[in-house]
Amino acid sequence: MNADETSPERTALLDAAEELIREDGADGWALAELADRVGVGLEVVEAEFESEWEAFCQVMRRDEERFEVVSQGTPAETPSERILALLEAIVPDYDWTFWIELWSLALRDERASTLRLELDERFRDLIEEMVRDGVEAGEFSVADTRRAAITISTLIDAMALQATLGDTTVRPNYMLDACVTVSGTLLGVPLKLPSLAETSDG
Amino acid sequence: MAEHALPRVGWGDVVGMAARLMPERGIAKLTLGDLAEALKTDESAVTYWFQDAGQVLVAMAEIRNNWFLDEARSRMAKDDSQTERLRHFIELSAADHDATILIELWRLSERDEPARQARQAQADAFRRTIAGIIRAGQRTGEFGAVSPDKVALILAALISGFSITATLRDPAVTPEVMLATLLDTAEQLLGVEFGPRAD
Repeated sequence: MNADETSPERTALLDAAEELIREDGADGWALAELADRVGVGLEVVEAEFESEWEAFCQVMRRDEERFEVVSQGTPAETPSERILALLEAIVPDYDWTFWIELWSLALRDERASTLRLELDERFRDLIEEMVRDGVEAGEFSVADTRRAAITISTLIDAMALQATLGDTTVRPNYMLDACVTVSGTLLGVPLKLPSLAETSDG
Repeated sequence: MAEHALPRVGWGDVVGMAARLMPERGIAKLTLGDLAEALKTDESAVTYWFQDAGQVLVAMAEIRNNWFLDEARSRMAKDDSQTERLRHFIELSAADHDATILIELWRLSERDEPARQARQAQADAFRRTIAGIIRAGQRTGEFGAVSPDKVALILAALISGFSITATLRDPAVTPEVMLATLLDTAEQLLGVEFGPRAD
């Protein structure tokens, strides 16, 4: 693997791998196609990724890191604001294509199942930390912080999944409104988003 | 002299065989040729009914969704209150949580317009059923003044989301956890109490 994880060569390979996964699925392409697409030799690709699966893992991890950077990039002082910032980050960045691929692979592939659990646990940890901070600060009233985190992350997954598939009801603002409603209910605090301009019953 | 004839297969034979093969192979690796081979027939006998494996998957998903809604309606028909109906709908969702076909349908929907339309129609039917229970419960005064469509969308999404993790055998989301969390969330959103949980 390239020692520099942000090198232009590596970025180009990951970008091209993303395209191939979107077009043909996580397991529907070969490293040779990736080499062709980027215009490099197969040995260059193989120096970066041991296999198509390895490339998919790197794409998945980069996507999750981007999502976490976006969701934590908004200045937020209180736990409520941090939860809202996380939910707001979903709206412009709700493409769950790689998750759908991962779920499908995880039905039959132990490696995919392990990766899915690892990434889900990481996301749940992130939310649970916010929930715990809120409980300690006296903002949230939650008996089981882990369960609240799992419920919120599950709703985010399911809403983003449907938006990714172009669901005619789950428009971005509606998805955000639903996530805010459930989070506020679970956390025992009225959460409000000033940016939520328009919602309807679809 | 007539050649040895390969067996003719019906629509249901093809779908039934796909239901056996798809979970182990996945939709991406299942072909009509595989189905024909498993059915010991010629591929043309399969293509008479379906043009590609995606169509077979859509048919499987529709059968499963229709079965679920019919079963739910049948169980709910015996209930006296909308609270009981919603509880039974949620209980059936948790008991029948296997999302293997759905996950494959979602994956296909990313690149296949008929699959996308089928998924939308199934999601709409599922949400409409929940929203109908909520509206009826509001008329009888059992549920609070919330948007039925919004709460139906939320509950349907949570059912889908928990079904994924339960199907993938997530240690934190067993069917029991799924059921308890769905019932608790519905109670909080609708301002209702479902009563004691079964052990």
